[in-house]
Amino acid sequence: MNNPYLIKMEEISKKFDGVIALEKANLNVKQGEIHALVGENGAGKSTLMKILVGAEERDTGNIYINGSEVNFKNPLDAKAAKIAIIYQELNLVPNLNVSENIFLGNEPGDNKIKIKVDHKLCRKLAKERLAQIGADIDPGIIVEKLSTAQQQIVEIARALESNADIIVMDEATSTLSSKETSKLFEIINKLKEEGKTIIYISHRLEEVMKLADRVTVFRNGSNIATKKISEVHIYDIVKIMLGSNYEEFENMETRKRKNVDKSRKILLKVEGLSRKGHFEDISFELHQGEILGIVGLVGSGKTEISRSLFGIDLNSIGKITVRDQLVKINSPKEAIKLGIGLVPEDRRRQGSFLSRPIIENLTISSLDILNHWGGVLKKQKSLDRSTVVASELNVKMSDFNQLLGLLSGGNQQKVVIGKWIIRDDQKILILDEPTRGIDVGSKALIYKIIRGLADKNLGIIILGSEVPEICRLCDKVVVLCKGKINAYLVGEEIKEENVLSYVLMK
Amino acid sequence: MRRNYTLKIWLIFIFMVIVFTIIKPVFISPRNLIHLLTQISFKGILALGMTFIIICGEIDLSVGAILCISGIVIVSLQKTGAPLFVPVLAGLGVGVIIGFINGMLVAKKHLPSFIVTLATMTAIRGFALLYTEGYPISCSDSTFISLGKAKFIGIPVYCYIFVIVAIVYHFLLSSTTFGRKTYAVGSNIESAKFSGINVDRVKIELFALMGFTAALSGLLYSARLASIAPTNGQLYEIDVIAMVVIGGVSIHGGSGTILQTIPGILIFASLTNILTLNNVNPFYYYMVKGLVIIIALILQGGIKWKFRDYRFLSLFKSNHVDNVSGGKSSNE
Amino acid sequence: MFELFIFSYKIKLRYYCYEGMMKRLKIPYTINQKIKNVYKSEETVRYLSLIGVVFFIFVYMTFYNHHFIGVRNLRNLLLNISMLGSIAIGSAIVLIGGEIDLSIGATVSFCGLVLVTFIDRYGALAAILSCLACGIVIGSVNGFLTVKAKIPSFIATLAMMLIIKTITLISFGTITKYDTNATFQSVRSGTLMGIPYIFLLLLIILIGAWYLLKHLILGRHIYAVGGSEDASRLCGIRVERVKFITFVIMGGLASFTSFLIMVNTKAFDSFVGTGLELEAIAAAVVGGATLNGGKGTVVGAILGVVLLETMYTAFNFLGMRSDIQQITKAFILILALLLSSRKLSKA
Repeated sequence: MNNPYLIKMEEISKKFDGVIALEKANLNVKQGEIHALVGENGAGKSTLMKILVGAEERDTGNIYINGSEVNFKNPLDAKAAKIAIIYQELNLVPNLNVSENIFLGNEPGDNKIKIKVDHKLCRKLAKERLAQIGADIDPGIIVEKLSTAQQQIVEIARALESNADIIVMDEATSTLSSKETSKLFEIINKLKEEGKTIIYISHRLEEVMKLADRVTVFRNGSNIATKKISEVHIYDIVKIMLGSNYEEFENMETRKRKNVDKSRKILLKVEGLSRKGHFEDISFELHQGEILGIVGLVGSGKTEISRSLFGIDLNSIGKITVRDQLVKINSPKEAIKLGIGLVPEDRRRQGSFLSRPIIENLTISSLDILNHWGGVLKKQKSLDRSTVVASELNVKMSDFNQLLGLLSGGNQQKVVIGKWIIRDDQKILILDEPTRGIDVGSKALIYKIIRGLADKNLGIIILGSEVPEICRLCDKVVVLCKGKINAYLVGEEIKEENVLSYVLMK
Repeated sequence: MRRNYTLKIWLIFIFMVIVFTIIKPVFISPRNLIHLLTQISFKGILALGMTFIIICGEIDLSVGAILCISGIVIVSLQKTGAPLFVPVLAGLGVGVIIGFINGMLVAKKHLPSFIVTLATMTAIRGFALLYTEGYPISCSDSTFISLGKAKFIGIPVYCYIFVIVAIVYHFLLSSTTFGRKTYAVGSNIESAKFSGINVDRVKIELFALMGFTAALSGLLYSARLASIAPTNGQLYEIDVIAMVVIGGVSIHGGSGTILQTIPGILIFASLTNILTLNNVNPFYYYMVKGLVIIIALILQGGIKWKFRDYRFLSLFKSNHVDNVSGGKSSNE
Repeated sequence: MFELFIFSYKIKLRYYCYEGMMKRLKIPYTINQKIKNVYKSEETVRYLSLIGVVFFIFVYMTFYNHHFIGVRNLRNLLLNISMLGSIAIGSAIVLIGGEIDLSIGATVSFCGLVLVTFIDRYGALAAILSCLACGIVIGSVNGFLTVKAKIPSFIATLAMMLIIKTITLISFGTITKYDTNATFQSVRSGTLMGIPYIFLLLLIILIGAWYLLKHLILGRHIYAVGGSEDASRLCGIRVERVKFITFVIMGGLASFTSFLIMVNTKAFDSFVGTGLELEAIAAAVVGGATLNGGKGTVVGAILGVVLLETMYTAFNFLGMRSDIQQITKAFILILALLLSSRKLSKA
């Protein structure tokens, strides 16, 4: 009897330290299809995949590959079963070259004992593999010198080399430009033509609509629905993903654009800001109560601009005026003193202290306000303000002394944002991709908070690459292309198609 | 889990004291206790300073050398007959300056602290040797000597100083901005930068504090002995690191408190003391110290008996914890 | 005195310049470049600059005292290189794997004393085997502590050094032991076309180690593990096993070194190995290894040894006082470490 499904995951449950990651989740993947997994952070899709490839052990449930039950104890077992996974943080050895990485653990050779390395054979086979995907990379290059997109291609070559029939990709495109993304999709489709089965995890629904054959939506640790792409609309998927919070999202769409009163104070004026090799001649104004969006692809320079404004990158030229005062921002400390705050892009690596309690994380940027003379901390005030912020942001935690690392990803992000809200002298807040990696429900909450801050007369700058979000949220939009401003849109000009055209055009 | 460990350590200490007293009742004799307290004070002060450094994720191998050189400065200057506060300030100042240099090299030049402090230690020892020609220098100032021998309620003054330093440093670490910044830098240096902390400055201040602490210990040390030799304080670094680590402060940084170092100091000093009492061959001291460090770290981290090659941190990043329980995977 | 300060300053300056030259040669990568494997050219530059500095020292010293280039001195130099060389190789292997071993000196002392003591009692073969066994056992313990007990290797091997030192002192005391039978006389004084056998033994080890790292899968795995543990694990490489093996190799090479030392000097005491570990690490680092792992070569380590030993011989010729020599050696060691970390942070 031919089982129609290549992979069948039945009633998988998994708990981490009492937190339910997966609850009786099911997944069925057909042979030769591109199957997308979508869902909020914490919904369980990544965990399920880790269980599939043997990086995690399930608590209950069964997995069947090709009709027979499997029990992977480690990633090697999965590898033997021809399953490969490409993680978001790529896992190549930086100091080895491309061919060495492709064959790592799998070195080719005739001898059965497999002790000796056959260099010539390696290089030849590597070239063939890369050509198979249509990539033009010299196999002798040391991997750390390659771009992220190229490294990803090496990872795919490595997956192919281990004869994988099933390839799982976890957020493969989050750091790619759209050109690189198209190239990646070409490769994925080629893999499909060769009969491989792809499981594609992504939160970029537009991409999923373009690429996948079927999609499974995850929510709260379980699968909710599986649909054929050809039979759904993107909004249907969103509706399924959001559940009860959909109303907030809908409210978002009908937001009226604020017409900024010119008599409002100019909080930040940037004139001719340039940093060699990163961005050139950036000028804009930020008024009180205004939400300014900066849109651009990866590499357009938006993060670099925020880093220069916050004092992390130092060699920029140009004028920066904060509240009518010409300034030179040479360190984050100076930026904070001027009332500027930055929520960085990589909140885990750049914004959180996982081994410290939540309250320390919240108060770490406000130490100058929360202390008596001589540096002694005002513990009660810290606690009071933290309580206010934590409830505003709806952070799910047991108490303030809980270590940040024990919270879920989305809650950790909230704490990182909360770090800036706790200050009462905040004037300008820069948010770099504030909703990246956050579930849609929490996204709506973040939008609400951003708008709330704008209402309190802060000036907000949002750096984003998701055009629909920016369009709905901002009063002004600056479109960056290759480090230069390509468009400066106000009011009615802010429409998705309009913005998109400037993102790509020169 | 962390609290359990500290509790265990205190229990071990109490257990040790009881056992030692039974084996050699002279352990709790006043004379021996004073001797024990001396060891606790001198090395303990160093350990208190070292706690900060280790929490910040660095290490300082030059503490013994700083102790020595500040002692040399103090004793030499006090021979010139200047009023007492001059050599004292000079000695403490030397410690701060050396600490400052350590901090500058680590922070501004981004060099690993292990190598920098190793270099500093070598340099200082070299200078000490050259200056003293290998012989100890003795002290002639009577005020100084009597201060070194002073007692209050039968307990030497320097012990009280140790307690004061412990209290002050605990407060410094737990309730001031300086302490918070230390934890932040030790926990995640990138995030610290993005939070507006001047990481370089924190590191420099930390090493300067350590330098001061070591110089303070040197002051007390030379006062008590009324002399100083270029080999004094040698290998104290190892003892001090052991003390901090036994107590449960994670060697990787980002967590730990002074309250955890204190039982470490007590246990280590008592252990050394009982060895001396038993007239154990001094060669064995090395071994004991080595074993103690290893055992403490194993207790901190646990032995992975099962050949679980496949638990790795990077995959854990999205669900689990980095270094929260000092090395134990939260799935254990 | 003054002169030798100038001298050592010149050496450091020269070295610094060559390091700078290497930095400038860090060619940025573009996909269409013909230069394959950019890292390889960095290696060649390093080797050339090391050889260059050695050459410079030779030239300078020969002008100072023509005996420097005499047969006797060269022979001594080769012997010294052989003795330091084998542990430098082991050190390089451990460093490439991403760990560090500070117990080498104590291991050498211990194995050497075992060797010397056993030769009288049990004969040459048993002695050599026991010596080797000791080295391997110590290496295994180091490996176990680092890999299973998850103790940072720096601390684990430091603690082991203390323990082994104690065991050495307890078992053998502080007296010097002599090999009265001069068992290895033939090895000691034998030469092949003028090159001492001892040096040839070193070359054999060098070739063996080079082959391991370059042509055996295990060697590639050592580089992989040093470069990225996580990536290696994902490929099925047993990271812990690889690291364990590097420590065992180190232990074995340490005992081999003690053998060479014994052959050369016919005597051993508990303090022979003091400071050896730092010298070995310095040589490996000068030769390209980094404390982070994944980089370095054994050929580079040997060139590093050549450079260091040449410098030490020069110090002797210049009449440097021995305690000043100690301090200068320590400084050079630390300078080497500082410079290599510098490149790391700049990268």
